[in-house]
Parts: sequence; structure tokens; C-alpha cells
Amino acid sequence: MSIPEDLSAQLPTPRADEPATLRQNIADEIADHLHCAARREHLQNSGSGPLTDQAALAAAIERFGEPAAIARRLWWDAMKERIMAQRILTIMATTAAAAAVFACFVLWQATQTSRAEQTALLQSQQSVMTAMLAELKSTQKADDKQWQTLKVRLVDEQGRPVIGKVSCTGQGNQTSDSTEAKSDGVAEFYLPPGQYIVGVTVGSTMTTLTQLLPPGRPTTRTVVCPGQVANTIPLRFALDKSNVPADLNIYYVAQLQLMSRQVADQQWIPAPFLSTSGERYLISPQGELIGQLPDVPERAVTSNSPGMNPKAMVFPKRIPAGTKLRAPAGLQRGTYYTNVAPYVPDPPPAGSAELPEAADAMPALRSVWYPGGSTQVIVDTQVKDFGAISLDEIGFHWTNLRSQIAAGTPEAPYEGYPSAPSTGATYVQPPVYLAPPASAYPQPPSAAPPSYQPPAASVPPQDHDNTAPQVPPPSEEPDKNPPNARIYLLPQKPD
Amino acid sequence: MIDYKLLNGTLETLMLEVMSHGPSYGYEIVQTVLSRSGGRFELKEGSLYPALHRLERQQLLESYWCEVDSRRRKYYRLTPAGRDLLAARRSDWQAFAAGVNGVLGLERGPAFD
Repeated sequence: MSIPEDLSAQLPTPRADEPATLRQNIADEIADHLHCAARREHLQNSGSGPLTDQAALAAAIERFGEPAAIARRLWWDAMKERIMAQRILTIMATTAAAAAVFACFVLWQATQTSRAEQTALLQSQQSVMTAMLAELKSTQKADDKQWQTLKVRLVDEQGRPVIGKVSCTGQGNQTSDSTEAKSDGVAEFYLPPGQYIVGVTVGSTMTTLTQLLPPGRPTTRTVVCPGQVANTIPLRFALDKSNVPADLNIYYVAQLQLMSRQVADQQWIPAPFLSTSGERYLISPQGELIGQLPDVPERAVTSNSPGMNPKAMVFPKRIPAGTKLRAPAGLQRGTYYTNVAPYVPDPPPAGSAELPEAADAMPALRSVWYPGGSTQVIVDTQVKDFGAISLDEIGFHWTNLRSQIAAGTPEAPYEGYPSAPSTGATYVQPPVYLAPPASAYPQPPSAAPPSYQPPAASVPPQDHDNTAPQVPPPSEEPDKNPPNARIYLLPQKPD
Repeated sequence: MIDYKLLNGTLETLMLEVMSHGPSYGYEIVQTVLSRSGGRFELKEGSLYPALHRLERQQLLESYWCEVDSRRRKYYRLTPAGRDLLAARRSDWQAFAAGVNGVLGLERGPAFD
């Protein structure tokens, strides 16, 4: 009988944390006891006949108790602390896990509650916003009923649509808007009712008008504009040449700058930043507006007139002879601010016939075209189709020229100039050069009036754009620059 | 046959006393107690081992194994702590027995014969 093996089989399932020798030790100890007890049984019963080992062992077990139960008790006592510790640990872990699960559950529940609360809050906010939106929409609808469309239709005098820019500025309601009238000529606004200043810009001119936009009613305003196509009229200047020689057939340059233009019932003026200083037109000796002169770059001149501080001046360059006119001989109706000055081109190149040959009438008067020497008149084509230019009012230059002609001798270079006789403006000393070298200009035709002689070439022509206008030095060759040299004027070439 | 309820609480003292004379093992301890008690304390032999293991875990005993007749045998012996406890139990028992004997009028009872 192998007691230890049987006892090991009777013990609980081996555990991982069980000491390796525990089972064997328990079995060995109980087996040793039973062996000793069985031997004792043998010895005690030796007198009454030998016991079998089985009987001796059974008697020993009878005194000992159930070996398996004792072995399990010992095993349990040895493992009790570990098992209980493990159980406590398991319970704690389970409790912790349960607590964690419970915490998660509580958290989830709190989240659900929070989400529900947030949803409820959002719903309440949404309802509030919806209500506010509905109220806003209702208010807007009420306003929409008030706001109206204002159409500004731009047409020319023939009723054709005109392209332009339109702005509306409310009076009192601080509303301002601007848009562009495209090819259909219509600029559309959506505005609250009220009084508006409507500004219309077409080309380089603009006008303003007042427009009332009543509530609840779309409004269309038609504005007749100057139009994009030039509507020119022939223009003639009436020249009062009573104070100049009758044979002074020279051409003139008039710089016409639009001041205003009446179209239908609307006054148009140059638009800010869009208008120019005007266009220059060539006027015949008879006062006819022949055509538009091309733009000529300006030049800077510094005056060093005696007794005056040097100052910069800007003059247009002279127009080279042979320059082609580029515009029809006419003007759009309007009121113009005009500067008129004699036209003296540069010496024409050989064979040039674009500009009137009569423009060479004053070859010796090279620098007559400048603002200070011009007259300023208003040409109102709205009223009359001609402008009035009185050469008597042209100013000191003409006064000077007239005196030269009347005296029959050229004056010496000016030492000082009088104030303007009629305009009151302050004039800048213009260098007037007389008698350029004869070789510099073509000889006058034989048709020249006998009262005038070709100028003697004494002083070389000098351009006016010299920064320091030079006074012609006294002639060192009296025979070439006689003191009584006359201004040579060519008569106008007949058409 | 004595009432073993009276042995409650004294079995450990008896085992410590047996081992106070030298190392011993389970069967020998049972036989010693039986012999020294005049055959009065015939213990259930299996119940001895849980007590021995408990005293060993309490570090009142210590054990070791020996090879005897091709078998492993576990011997127990008193630790200093077990020896101290045994001394204390002796004093307690003497006081207790004197008290009980005094009450019962058995100053020199059979237990001390």
C-alpha cells in the first residue's frame, strides 16, 4: 500500500503558488506516522497471531483518523494564507473592477445626463434662435416692403443707352451705393426710401440730380447724357483786329477747356480727376475753328528775369509745322474756358503742308505762344455758335507786337514788362526774339507785302525752353541786324 | 476515560513539553504523551499534525527531515520562542492547577503524583 501516492491524489488541485515540496512533505510525514503505527500494531498483536499488513495499517488508520482528510487539512493550513491573500486580492481586484465599472457607468450616466441636458439646452437655444430668426425675418420682410428699387437709365439725346457710373447718396439715412450702367444704360439700386443725390459720370463729365425714392414703389429715373459720340458744331471766332494791322493774317491757337454743358435739363461739368486742361484748336485768321492740335509735351522753363526770383514755369512745346490736325473742326456744345494765342510753329520742314503755310506769318516771333500772352474768353456754344476774341485784350504781348508794328522797328529786348492791361494777371517776362537769321527760314514769297522787309539775320533763334533765357547780345554786326529791322509777316495763303 | 474537553488549550503545552527534551517526530510525540500520562491521554493521532504545523508557522517549533529506514521523517524541535512560551505555560498551569486544586481540596491531587 502506497499511502503517499494515494494522499497526493486526495489533495486539492495543485496551485501555481504552491511550494513544490508541500504535497510530498505532507504525504511523507503521514506515511511515516502510519508505518510506525502499523509496526506498533504488529508488535501489540504479536501474541495473538501475526496481523496482515493490511490489518495493521487499517488499525493504524483507525487510531490516526482519515489520512486524506488530515492531509487536506494540513495542505489547507499551509496554503490558507496564500489562498486567502489571493482571494482577498481577487476580491479587491473584483471590487476595484466593479468600482471601475460602476464609475464608468456613473460617468456614462452623467455623460448621458449631461448630453441630455446639453441637448435640451441646445434645443432651447435653437428654439430661441429660431424665434429670433423668425422675428428678424418678419422685421426684414417689413423692411423689404419699404426698400425699393431705383433704376437710373442713362440715354443720350437720341435716346440710345449710354455707359456711365452712377452713385446714390442718401440724405439723412446715411445710405450710399454706386454701380455702373453697362451697355443697357441702366444702373439699379436697392435702397430704403428717402431723398437721394444721384451722381452720374459719363466720359469725363458728370452731373448730379436729386431723386426721391418713395416707400413701396419702384422708381426709374432717366438721365439724358452727353453721349459718347461727339456732337460737334461748327465754331467761328469773331476776331476784333481793329488794333492790329489788317494784313496781320496769322493763325491762332485756342485752348478750350469745358466748364459746363447743358444736356436736356441737366448741367454737366468736368468730372474730378477725369477732366483735362482742355484741347487746343487751330483757328484761322478769319476766326474759323479748323481742327484740333495734337497734344504737345510740356517743357519746364526757369525764369531769370531781372529783378525777379528764378522760378520754374511750364510751357507747352511749340507745335512743329507739318503736324496733322486730328479732330474735326467743331466742338460739342458747352461752355468753355478759352486761352487764345497767336500760332507760331517751328520752322516747317521742307515740303510740309499739313499746317497752314500762313502759320509761318510770324517766323521772327518765336515764343509768342504761352499762357501769359494769351487772352481768356468764354466760348458759350450753348448760346451762340461763335466766340469773341478781341486782340485788343490779348495782353502785353500783343501790345508789344502792335507797338513794334506801329513803330516799324523792332524793339530792343524787353527790360521789363507792364502789368496785364485787362486781366490783371501777373505776367512772366517772355523773351521775344526778333529777326532770326534769314537762312533759318524760307524766304518770303514774292507776294509779300512791300511794306515789310525780310528780317535781317542778326540774332540766332533760341528756343524758349532754355533754362536761362538769354537776352540777345548787342549786335556786333550792324549791317546784319539793323536797328530798324522790321517784322516780316506773310499774308495768308489763299485757299 | 477522561473528558478530552479538559485538554482543550493544553495539547500544545504538552507537545512543547515533549520536545523540550530534544527533537522528536509526530508518532513519537503521541507515544510520549500517552506514556507519560499513564495511558490517560490517548490522542487522536491525526489531530496532532495540524497543531504541530501551526506551532511551526508560529515559529515556536522548527523542523528538519531525516532519512530513516528508507523513509523520510520530519523532526521538530523547540525554538527559543517556543521554549519561552513553554515556560510561561508551565507557570500558568501551575497557578491554574493550584487554584483548581485549592477549590477542589486537592492540593496534592493525582495529577501531581
